[in-house]
Amino acid sequence: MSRLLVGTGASTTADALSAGREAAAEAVAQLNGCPVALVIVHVSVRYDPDVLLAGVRDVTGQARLVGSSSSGQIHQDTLVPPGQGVAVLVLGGQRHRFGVGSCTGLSESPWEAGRLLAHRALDDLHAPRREHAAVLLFSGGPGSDQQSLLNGVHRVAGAAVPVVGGVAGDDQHLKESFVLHGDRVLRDAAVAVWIDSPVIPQVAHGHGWEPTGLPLQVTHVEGTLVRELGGRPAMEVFRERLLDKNGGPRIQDCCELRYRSTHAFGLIEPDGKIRIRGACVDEHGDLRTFVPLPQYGAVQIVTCSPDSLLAVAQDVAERALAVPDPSVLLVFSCVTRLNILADREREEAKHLQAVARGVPVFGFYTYGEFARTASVSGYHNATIVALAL
Amino acid sequence: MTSRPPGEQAVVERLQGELAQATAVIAEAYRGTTGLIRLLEAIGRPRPPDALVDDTLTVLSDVFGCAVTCLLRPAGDRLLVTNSCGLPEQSPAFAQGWDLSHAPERTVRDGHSTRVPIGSDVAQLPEDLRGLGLRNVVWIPLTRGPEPEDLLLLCRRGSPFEDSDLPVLESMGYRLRLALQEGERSLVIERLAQVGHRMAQHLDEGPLMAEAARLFRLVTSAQGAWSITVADGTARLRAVAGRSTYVGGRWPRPVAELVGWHDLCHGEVMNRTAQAVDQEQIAGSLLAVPVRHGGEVVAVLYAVHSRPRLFTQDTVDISTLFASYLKVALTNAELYRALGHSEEYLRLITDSISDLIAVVDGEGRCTYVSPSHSRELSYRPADLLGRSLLDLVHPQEKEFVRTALKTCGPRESTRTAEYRLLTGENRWAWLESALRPVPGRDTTYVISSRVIDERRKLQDELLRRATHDPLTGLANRVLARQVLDRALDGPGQGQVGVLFCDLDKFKDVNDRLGHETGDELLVQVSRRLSACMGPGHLLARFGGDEFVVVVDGVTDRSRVTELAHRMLSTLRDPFPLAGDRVQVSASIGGVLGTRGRSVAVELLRDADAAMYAAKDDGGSQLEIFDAAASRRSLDRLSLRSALQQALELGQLSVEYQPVVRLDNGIITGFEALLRWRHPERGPVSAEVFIPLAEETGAIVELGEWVLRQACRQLRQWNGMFPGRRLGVSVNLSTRQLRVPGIAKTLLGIVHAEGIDPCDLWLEITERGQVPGEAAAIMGVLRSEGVRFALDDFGMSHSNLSHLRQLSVQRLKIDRSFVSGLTECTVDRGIVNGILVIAQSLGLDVVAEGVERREQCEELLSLGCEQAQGHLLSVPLSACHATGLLRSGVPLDLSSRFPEPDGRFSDGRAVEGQVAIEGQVAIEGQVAVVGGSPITGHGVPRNSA
Repeated sequence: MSRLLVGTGASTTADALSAGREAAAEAVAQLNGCPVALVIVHVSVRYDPDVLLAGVRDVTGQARLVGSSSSGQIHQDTLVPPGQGVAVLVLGGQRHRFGVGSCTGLSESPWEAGRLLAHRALDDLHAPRREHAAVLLFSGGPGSDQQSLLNGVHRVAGAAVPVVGGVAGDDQHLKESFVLHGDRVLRDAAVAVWIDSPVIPQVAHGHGWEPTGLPLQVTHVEGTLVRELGGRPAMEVFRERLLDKNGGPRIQDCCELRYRSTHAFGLIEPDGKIRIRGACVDEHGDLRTFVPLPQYGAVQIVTCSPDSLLAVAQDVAERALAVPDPSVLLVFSCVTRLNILADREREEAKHLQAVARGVPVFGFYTYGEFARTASVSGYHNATIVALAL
Repeated sequence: MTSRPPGEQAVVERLQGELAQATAVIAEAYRGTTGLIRLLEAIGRPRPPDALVDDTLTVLSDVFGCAVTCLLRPAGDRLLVTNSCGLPEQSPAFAQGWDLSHAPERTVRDGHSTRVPIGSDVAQLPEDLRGLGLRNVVWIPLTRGPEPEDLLLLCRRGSPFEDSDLPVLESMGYRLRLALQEGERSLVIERLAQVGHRMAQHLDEGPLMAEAARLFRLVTSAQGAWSITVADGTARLRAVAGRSTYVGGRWPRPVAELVGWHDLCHGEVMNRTAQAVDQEQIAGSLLAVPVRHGGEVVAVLYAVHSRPRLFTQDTVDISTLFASYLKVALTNAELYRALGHSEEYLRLITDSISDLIAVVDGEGRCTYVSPSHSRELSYRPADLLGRSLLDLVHPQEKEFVRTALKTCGPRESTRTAEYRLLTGENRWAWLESALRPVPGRDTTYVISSRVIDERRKLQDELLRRATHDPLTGLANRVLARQVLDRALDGPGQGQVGVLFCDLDKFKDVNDRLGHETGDELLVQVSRRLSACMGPGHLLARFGGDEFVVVVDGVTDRSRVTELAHRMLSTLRDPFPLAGDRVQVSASIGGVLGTRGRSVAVELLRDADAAMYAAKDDGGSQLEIFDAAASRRSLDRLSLRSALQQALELGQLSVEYQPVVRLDNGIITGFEALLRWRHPERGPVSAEVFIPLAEETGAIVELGEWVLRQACRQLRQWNGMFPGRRLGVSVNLSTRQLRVPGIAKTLLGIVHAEGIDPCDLWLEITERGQVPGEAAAIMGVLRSEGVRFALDDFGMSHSNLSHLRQLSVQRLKIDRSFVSGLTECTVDRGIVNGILVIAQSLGLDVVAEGVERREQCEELLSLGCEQAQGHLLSVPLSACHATGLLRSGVPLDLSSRFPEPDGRFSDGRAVEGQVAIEGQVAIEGQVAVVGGSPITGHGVPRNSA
């Protein structure tokens, strides 16, 4: 069976049509004339997405296409920073087969949307299934219940099929994101690729954050507003924990820029691991999280450094690439990581590509990451997820 | 940075190690708690059963890190997957199931949870699960006991399930089962409310009984159900729904051969298990519900299930309601049949009468008259030619006939008219005429008539018969129903009352003196009752010995009760019957309906129910229900279900009422009182929910919960107020005393919460039936130091025997004696007697329900040292009780005592301060000011 053929391209040209054509042409050229089986596009919201999509499809034709808006892209060892460009991945060859499906109405009924798009993607395979599979999932609408979307996909895919992907970004404007399917730009929607594979797709994820201080119980939350921790006013507790007497970050550090916080909540999961939930202080001085914390959930305040984030990126890439003869490393990294890396933001792509050596790395910066592997649970924040094919 | 000296560094490292350990322990504890809370929240959230299972399986997958979770049901040699998180929904396991041998025998047969390490032996797993890399699975039965109905399967790729996981999973399985049952029950109640009345739409008995069997199976969640009608001592099988194995072969059969007829014929439900009914070769459980009409069983509904457990009380209650729906529907069907027969009869008569033909002009003048007029109307045709028929029409119908002629235009279809015509013999004859215009001649009409005197007479007689009781001449059920419908729909004043009167022991008269004498009695009764009626009253006989009165325009409820008492009174004089004087009485149930809102059938049903309540009270009684009475049984069912979940949903709380020394105002302890705030109903009275908890057995869990809260609270107080000796009293239900191992459980709680057992008082109410084993249980607890109080002392006839048998250390004088203390010498004597007994036995005494200053003074003068009641303090939240203790000063009782005129010395009124115990107090009514509590209802601030 032939290898999976891979081509990647990127462009920061201002004109949408040209940018789409350039990135797609660069990618398709690497397939050496082999037909394109799947196109993945991640794009800045600076472009008119319909025009950009037309530019890509001028090159890729009617091949199956999925994608999303993003807050920056990873193209091999290069970061395409938020608000600047588009990155395109094309896959070809007979080794894998792809089915694509999408569904709108995500915010209204995420579970049904997940179930429906998984069925559509599976139906789109048009071939008997091979032994192994994975689902690649891109979701629009950061306000939606992403775990429910995942649960809906899981209902169809089952435990044998891991689900990876990310929530579409919008260059941190926090206004509107979208996903791409074929020649359509879909809002309040999600799109999935059913990847049929002869080998077990390898998924890895990690966050690089460390807990600090004692665990706390969330005793009062209202949506994203955290009212009480351990029965006391949440802001008071948060403030106490962050007043590092050894000159560490003070509360102001995490209040100035919403996404540039090196402190967040670590939700203590039933399996003992920690899932990151970013936190900020809003204009009223109240403590908020981007994803609601569960009432009576257990949390620890977590912290990280650029070094710990880069180390975990390398670790995740190594674990994902531990498969025979990988052809591509797909990466979905949280935009929070990019913000914390700050002036070292370009190092993540370089570290990833260094680990992957000759295997091309491709991905985007997200508003939330999917990595469903062991149990039904699989929606993450401030995390990096990788899938090697 | 300066480096620390080595000794200091070692300490820092040790402390850091300890901190890390502590952090890990806390994280582990929180992790477990988080998982539990998520599971409880998933199971506790009300939603349809399927969604409940799906959500629970999802949370189980998450909490226990499971690749696959399934709910399974053994069926024959297969194991059907009903729900799963982790199996794709397209999996054939849902339709075909797995071989039962994949489940451990000790789980499937004995109902034990089983952990199975898979290792490399994946053949242990069903094929669908083999490629998933699963390493450990656990099987959990959802029900306790052998051969569980449903199983949970959890499969992990990673670490084995811990020992501690099993009890959690078992408990969650059991709760899931309860939640599912609850969800299904709610569905059934909802379904019953939606479809029950639809049976009344079936006007033929056959389809009605088929529908009844179908719905009864649904309502009882049975595997099979069948309906039987009973008439003239013979039972006929009418319809079977679902499994029919148990119906038996020979039908019809004498009623005496019906299973359970001995109970059914007395109107009682039969609910038995296999052993009790196995002569019918029924393995499992059988439920039979009679449908009664006019005191007789007219139908029976049976439901069967192969499980060897009785149908639940909920199912029995719902079945009884269902039977009442069927009774109404059967009555409808019966009336419809009667109507059908009447119509057929009429048609036969009218068809046999030959027609009279006349042709008339626009003014009704005859231009042709058929010879048959001579025979039928005694007019020769010549007598009528040129004469207007309108001149012969009865004045009451003349205008009607004239209009009919005028409006019978050429394009009109045939018009018909019924009217009276003066015959040649100078009498009025009823005619039915069809008026048709002659084609092409606009003002000429053919009148085809027939004499319908006989039909009219018959019609009148039928109408009379259809609306009156032939024996007594009173209105019958149909007319009463029409009158009631008209009254309820009409624009009249006031409400509409219904009285349902049934003679007590009428059957005895019939049996003793014969049916004819029984009929004579009914005639005499109807005469006497008729004499009680006034304008706006309709007396009807409903059948058998049932009489109904419709009272229109009730502006004052007393009008209805007075009428009912007149009726009861007039029946008290003996009736002369068969040369004897026979004494009878009656029971009357009444109900008031509101125009435009109440429905006749419901009013009659409620009045009927009220009548039975009156009969239950011993007969010769009157019982009036309000319009909401019919909803009470459903409402009660719903409340009982809600109570099962109240604890999990955090709707319960404990309040503490101080027990105070009357001589110095010092608080010696608190009585812990359970409170329930329902999210929709608000506070639910303890008088309502405690009996429900007793009934369902929930009192056992609730009692333990209250004890735990109270002990925990006492330990807090002990920590906050060292040196101060406080006691806490907790009510112990007699139901708890029947639970095996209860002494160990209660002591376990006391020890776990770390209080001295000597500070705990367990209160046993006198009113409950104290079980025989109570003394032994109390002995065990007493040997550990726990003390006992006899609550509500004085209210039961067995006081002294209880004192001897139970060997308590405290008596609590019932509030009813305290309330009568200052007015009633008997009550004062009883209280005095109790105090003397207590003194002679060396017992502690607390007076309950103290509400007035004089009662305090009287109690003190009699030597009663301690008391509780709203005068001293309403029950308080733990926080406010703490505030009261923190104030550190005794209650100034004198300032709490209102003057005899009901006012405090500073002029505030006592009214409203006193809340009835059992009602929920009172968040927001208590505030702590300056460390001392005041109530929002006027309990004065404690003076420092």
